[in-house]
Amino acid sequence: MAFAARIGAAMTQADGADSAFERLFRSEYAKVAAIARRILFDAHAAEDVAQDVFVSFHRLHAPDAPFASKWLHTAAVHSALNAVRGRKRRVRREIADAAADQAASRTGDPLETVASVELRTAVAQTLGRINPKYAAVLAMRYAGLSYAEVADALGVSANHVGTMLRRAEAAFKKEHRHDPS
Amino acid sequence: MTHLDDGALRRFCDDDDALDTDQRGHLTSCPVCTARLSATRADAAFAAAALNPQSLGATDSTSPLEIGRAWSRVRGRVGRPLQRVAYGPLLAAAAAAAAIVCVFVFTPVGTLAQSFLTIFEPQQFVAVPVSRADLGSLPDLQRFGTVVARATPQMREVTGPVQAGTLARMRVAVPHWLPADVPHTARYAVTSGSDTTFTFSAAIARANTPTQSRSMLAMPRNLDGAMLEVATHPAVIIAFGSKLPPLRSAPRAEGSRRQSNDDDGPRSLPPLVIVQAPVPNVTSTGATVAQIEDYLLRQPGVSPSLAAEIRSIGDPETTMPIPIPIERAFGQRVTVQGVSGLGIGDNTGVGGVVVWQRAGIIYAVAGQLPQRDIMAIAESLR
Repeated sequence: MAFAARIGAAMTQADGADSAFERLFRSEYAKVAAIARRILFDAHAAEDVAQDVFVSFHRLHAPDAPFASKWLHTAAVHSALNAVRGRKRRVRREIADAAADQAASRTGDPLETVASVELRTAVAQTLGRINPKYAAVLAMRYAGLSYAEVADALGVSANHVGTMLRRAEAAFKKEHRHDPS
Repeated sequence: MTHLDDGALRRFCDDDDALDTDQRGHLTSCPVCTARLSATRADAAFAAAALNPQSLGATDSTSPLEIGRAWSRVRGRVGRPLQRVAYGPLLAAAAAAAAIVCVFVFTPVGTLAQSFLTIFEPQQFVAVPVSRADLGSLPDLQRFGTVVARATPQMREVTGPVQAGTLARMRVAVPHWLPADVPHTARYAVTSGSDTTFTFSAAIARANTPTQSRSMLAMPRNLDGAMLEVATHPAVIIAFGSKLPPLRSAPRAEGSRRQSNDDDGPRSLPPLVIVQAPVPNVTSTGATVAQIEDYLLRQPGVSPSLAAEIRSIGDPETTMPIPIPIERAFGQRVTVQGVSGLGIGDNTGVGGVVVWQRAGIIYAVAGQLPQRDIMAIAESLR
């Protein structure tokens, strides 16, 4: 095939890949962002994670890959957990910033705002401490994924998801009560 | 009946139909399972409350508008998938045919490029922005004469730089720096040389020209019968990753099974490829560079802007034009190892190529890497 034709064909192929990627994005973004939100409790950070996940997928895989959904869901969990671990150092600053913002705006209750940030941070850190598989099943399930979707992403049977979820919720409750800070 | 398992009880919290009649009967009559169900529900309620962003004052939905905005941002970051698709033919051809040079030898673009190669010592590489329409407008070489390939490149994997250098009769430069995320294991290959001639034919050109345009587009007399001979030398390919790049110029046996390298797109390419090859020998009989250029750029359909770009290059005998798809890539002059080269990057900064010539050897470093990494690798070649 002539070079020009090859380039033309490649461009056509690129158009197809683009539209397939957009379809994938539009069908999965809300779920991926929701998973990240369940772990990060920060809408902006969750959006960043979700978008990073899609960019990574785009670089590595074809948009029509049969494993696309489970890859995205799993990557959202891992990326968000990584973000939680990297965020510990910033927690104090975030709390101080939240209090300062609230004081500056003179609206709402600064103490309530700080408490809310602390609670979100505590939940995120609890997820970061428990078994990553438990964190994954919790984030996915409470983000609205079905048992079948969670099973697909984690590579287990749908029946086993119930068992994992039960253990994950027990572990989460125990860990959060033990060390909620 | 044995007690219900944890999974069944947990599913029952979400789905009333998760238990069959027997299981429901057991649950009703078994105080142990009833207590376990209560504990399961309590833990689930605790997790549901804690993991509900709204309960902690955070938003928990993604509206279609937000998805649209997010898509705009992601699309801006990934751009068009140049590094996965559009660079594929370019990189593969470069690797297969001893750097990007040989792409020009066998292609319609090569028709133009060859016109600059009569005295072939490309000291510079210049980006020529091309659109999809421009590419479609380029005349096909076979409309103006006869192409004869006496030898087509074949690729052979070798053990390392020493054997590659022996076969290619050149000293093989290897990178002394690689980004951490590039596999440090290299595979080496040597492509054989090629020898192709193109003979201009006024009769063939006339047969392929619309009747009403024949007088205007008549081939100049001294071009008729002029012959270009392009001989490429063995090239060394170093691929970092799991596989060597495909050899696109090699003919595929009729009826053979499709190799996975041709249409799978550049995902079959390794993340980093380094190509080095002596400059080809290009000789011409009977035609000057300017005559060939002028004739080809006058052909119907050739975009005026593209023709102007090529004519503006200035020093065609030492400058090689490289087409850059304007929708998805950019070209810029760079300095590599003290000489002038051409850097080509995709619009999102995640892939690129740098090409330069030094001491009679053309080097190309290409990969799905940021341009700064590609430049650093190029600088580290020794």
